[in-house]
Amino acid sequence: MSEPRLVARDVELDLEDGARTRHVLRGVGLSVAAGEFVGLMGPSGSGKSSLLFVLSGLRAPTKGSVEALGAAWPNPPARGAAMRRRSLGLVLQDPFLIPYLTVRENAEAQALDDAAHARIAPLAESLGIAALLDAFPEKLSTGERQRASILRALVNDPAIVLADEPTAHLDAASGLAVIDLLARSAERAALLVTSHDPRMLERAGRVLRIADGMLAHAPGPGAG
Amino acid sequence: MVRRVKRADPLRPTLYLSRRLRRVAPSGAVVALVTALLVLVITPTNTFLETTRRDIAPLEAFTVVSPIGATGAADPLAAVSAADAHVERAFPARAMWVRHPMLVGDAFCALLLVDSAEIPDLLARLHLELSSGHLPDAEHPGVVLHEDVARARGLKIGDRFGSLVNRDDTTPGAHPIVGLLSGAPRIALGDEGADAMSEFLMPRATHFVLVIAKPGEKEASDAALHAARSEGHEAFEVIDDAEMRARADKALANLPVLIGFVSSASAAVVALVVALLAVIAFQGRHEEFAILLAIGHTPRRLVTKLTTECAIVTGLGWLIGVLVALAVLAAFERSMMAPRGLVMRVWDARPLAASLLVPVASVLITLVALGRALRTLDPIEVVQRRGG
Repeated sequence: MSEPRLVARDVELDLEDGARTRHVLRGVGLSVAAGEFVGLMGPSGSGKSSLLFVLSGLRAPTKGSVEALGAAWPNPPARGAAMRRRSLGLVLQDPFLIPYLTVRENAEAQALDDAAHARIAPLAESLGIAALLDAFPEKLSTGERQRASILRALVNDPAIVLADEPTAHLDAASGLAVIDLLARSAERAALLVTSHDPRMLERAGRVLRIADGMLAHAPGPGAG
Repeated sequence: MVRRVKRADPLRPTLYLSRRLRRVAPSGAVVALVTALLVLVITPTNTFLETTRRDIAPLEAFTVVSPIGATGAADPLAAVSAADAHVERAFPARAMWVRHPMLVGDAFCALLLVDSAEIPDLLARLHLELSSGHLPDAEHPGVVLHEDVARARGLKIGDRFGSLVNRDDTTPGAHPIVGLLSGAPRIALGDEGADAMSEFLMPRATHFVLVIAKPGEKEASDAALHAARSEGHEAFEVIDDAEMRARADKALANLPVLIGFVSSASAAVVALVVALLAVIAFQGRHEEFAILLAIGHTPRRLVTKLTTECAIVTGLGWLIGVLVALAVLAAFERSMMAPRGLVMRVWDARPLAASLLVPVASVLITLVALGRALRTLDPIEVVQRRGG
């Protein structure tokens, strides 16, 4: 097994919800290695998205630690921006494309160097949106927008790819196609995809289940 | 090795502005309108100074030595002789003032009564030309008047002005206009020996000496005259262009206070409006900035982007406002001010500098407001609000 690229150790996350505190994540530990596709399943409100935001360094855990490529995410999260842009590809439930930029420009906004720029056309080709590179998001279908967001996420050939319910707004066929594209395009990365639909995670090497903020049968760090 | 190629940044402010012109136009329009308003309000205030300067411009060609108090109490020629090393010549003159309307109240240009033989030389020194009529002489008794003053007063050749014709007029007597002058300095010149004036006017007209310095020595000549006065000749005064300019500047010294207040207050109000528009526009771009923060763009970079966008919009708004104001002022000067004999400088750096407060304050307040908004923006909250 390759060296783990993403490791969470005993992560807890408490969020203030008015006067009370919600325990969103409890004792979560996991690791994802290079080339590994890990699925994260759970019902709505189980903590999937919260875990993904903690793993992406966008939210600091209340307790525990998260390491990406051997280094802990900085706290406050804004300080990890450069590391996030370089090492992480983030795909969200909603594509969140910048509306006044074309598909190509959305990807270019994330591209760090010439190699990344050179990667746009072939990646778009493999994602089936090469003909849409100069189109604005408003002209795209939901599936095309999601593919465009995958293009943006992968443009820097990130070591870690996190996808939060990327098929939520797609029909089953389109969803499977997107997952397939994501898995093939990020085959060298540590890939973690959340979904509430088990069909979408059939290609995953491992599927973790989360309920009430706790991972079921979660392997420990380094266990793969 | 990957070759570095310079690429256009899709997040560059100009790209957003060109593709979302309608969204940013209101901010630019507010700045343009207020800038135009400020320049249009402030610029005409230079009319007080510019008109006065045009009226005292003849003092660039000669200096006046004038007795203080009753005529004959001093001997101005004594001072003139003290400066003789720099003086080309000096000759007696009597002087009065010709009233013409100012923005508020009256302005005055000098009416000098001299030997008619001196008039052509004085006109040459003042770079004035006879645009119509005759120069005053025995055959044409009267005065030549600058055409701006004549136009402002509604006078033409053949008309008369003075206290005998109009009780409100401050010029003693009745002076027929025999010619009109054109050129920058404003003056009226008459023949000292003309019959119409000699009987009634001469005793009431102050006795002066016009001192004409040698070429290039006016400054030295004036300094010598001032020195002579301070060395015991206090009974007369030396009136030169520097002195009169200083008096005019002193009289209008408080004007900048008013201008400063108007421009500061306007800038503050507009800056708040622009900042408010920027914050409203920012609300509409929450998702854009949330995703950019989420995928690794720094708040500093986004603040710079937003501030640059604001600077470009307000800068362009300012430029448009200035150009519109200058065009309106040029038309206003031609159609309203010049016919009234009022001199207004259309291109004046002072109102432009004052109006610069508008974009500068707008950018600064926007920078503070949006910087704070961006630093407190939680991308997860925005993402989850839409994504569920």
